[in-house]
Amino acid sequence: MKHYMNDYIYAMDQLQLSQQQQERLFHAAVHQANHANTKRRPIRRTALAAVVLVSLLAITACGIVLKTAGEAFAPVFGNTTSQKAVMDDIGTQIGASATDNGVTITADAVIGDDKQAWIMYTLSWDDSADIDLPEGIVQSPTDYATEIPETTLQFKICDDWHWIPYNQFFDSDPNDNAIEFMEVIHLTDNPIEPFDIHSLTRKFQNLQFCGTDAYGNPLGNYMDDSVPSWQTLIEGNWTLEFDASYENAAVSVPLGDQTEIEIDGFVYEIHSIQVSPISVCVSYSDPNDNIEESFGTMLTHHLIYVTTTSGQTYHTDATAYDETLTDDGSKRIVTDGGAFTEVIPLEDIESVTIGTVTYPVPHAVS
Amino acid sequence: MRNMEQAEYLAKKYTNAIFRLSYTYLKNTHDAQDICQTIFVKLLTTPMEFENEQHEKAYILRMTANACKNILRSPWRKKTCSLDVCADIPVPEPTDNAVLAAVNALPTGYRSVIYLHYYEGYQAAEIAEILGISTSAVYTRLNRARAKLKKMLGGADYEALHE
Repeated sequence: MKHYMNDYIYAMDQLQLSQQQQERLFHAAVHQANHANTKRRPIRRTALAAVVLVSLLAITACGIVLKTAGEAFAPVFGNTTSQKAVMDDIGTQIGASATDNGVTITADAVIGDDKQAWIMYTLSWDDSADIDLPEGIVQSPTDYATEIPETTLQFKICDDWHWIPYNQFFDSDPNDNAIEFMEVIHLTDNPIEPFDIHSLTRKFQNLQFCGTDAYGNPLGNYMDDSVPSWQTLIEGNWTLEFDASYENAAVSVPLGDQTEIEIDGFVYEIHSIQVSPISVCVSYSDPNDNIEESFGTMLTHHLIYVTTTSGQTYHTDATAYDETLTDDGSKRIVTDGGAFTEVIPLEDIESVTIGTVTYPVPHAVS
Repeated sequence: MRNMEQAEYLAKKYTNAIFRLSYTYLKNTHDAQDICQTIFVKLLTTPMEFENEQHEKAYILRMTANACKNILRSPWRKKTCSLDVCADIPVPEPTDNAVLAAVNALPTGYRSVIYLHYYEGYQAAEIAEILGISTSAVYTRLNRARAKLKKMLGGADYEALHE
């Protein structure tokens, strides 16, 4: 049976420029590039903020408080003393910061598993910066959702490569001059933008906000002229360089003889399960290699979860991690999983369930 | 210009990919040509280094997506080529195609993931990096887009017509 997307592919195949058209466009670009005006940056913007790797002494001297991993990730993974203790144990403090226009961005800490790393930042400002964030623009910490909800606000801090989406901003203390945000890094074997976790560079530019429609698209003039498009809340340039290496907090879960599971009529071969106090991820393949048809099925139904020794279940934020091929190229291996809504001590995790199959975590204390 | 040779090589290699992704965002071929020229100017004025061909293409598609988003945000789109240069460039028009029309009726965020997945063959994590969204958002948008397309195209009836 011909899949209807073949018609789409055919239509896009027809959409192409002739060589003559391409050459004309390129020559027009050369003309434009040769006559481009260089704009002077507004005086109120400083030059690119210097890279600052600040020592503990210097940070405290400047009044910036270094956070432990537990303190940094408390808005995301839990604020109790025991939860922060777990995160202090598995996370790594960073402490790099940069300041521009009276606003400081600090990379506080990193935490991660085999496939994903989470970095928490604090954006703080002194009174001279005259920052006034609209009320309610940042979600409360409990709103860290398991899937992208439809919302009316979206933040953007971006370098040339990626954004920090709205649901990764927090305001743990509305009474202070600071908000927090989290970056998620995918540790895939085939990164689009290669990076070295031991020497990360992050360039942040202008904190902006914009309303979004029901599908998560930014609102703007193309949707509704009465709605303002991107507005700059905080102007500046911040460049941070730091070592974000961390200890993988995940452990492997034995599969026993349960290497195949069936979900919604699709059979999956399970290759591995990894669980940590903040996340779980499952690598699997489809023996029929019908990945396209089953694309996202496991995530959509949130069928990966853990159960604690007290009987509580935790689903994840259902972020897919990676897709690779086996060494002989015959099979596509997908890794799905995500972070929990709060940290769970490893010894309290009794089992991981995928679909209808439950895998005991051997080190759990009953 | 020091980057001429590299820019010309990249332009020749990726023009149609830039054009198609731009069309996906902007839904007209005139604007898609404007984006092609915008990207060419960036290639000419900014030296770039890539680890491999995969990185190279993904980076250029990322630039294209950003350029399209900027166009969509601004009510004042600047013409990127003078009239005497562009006047005699005939604009290719897409063929009549029910599926393409249905895709064009989807929200922008759905169209881009549909294009990157079904036409360019990217997987969710790669699409997430190109578009600057989370992987779960890619999955959500793909699933919703497919559901909407099936509804618009008549579901099983449409597939049966094309057996």
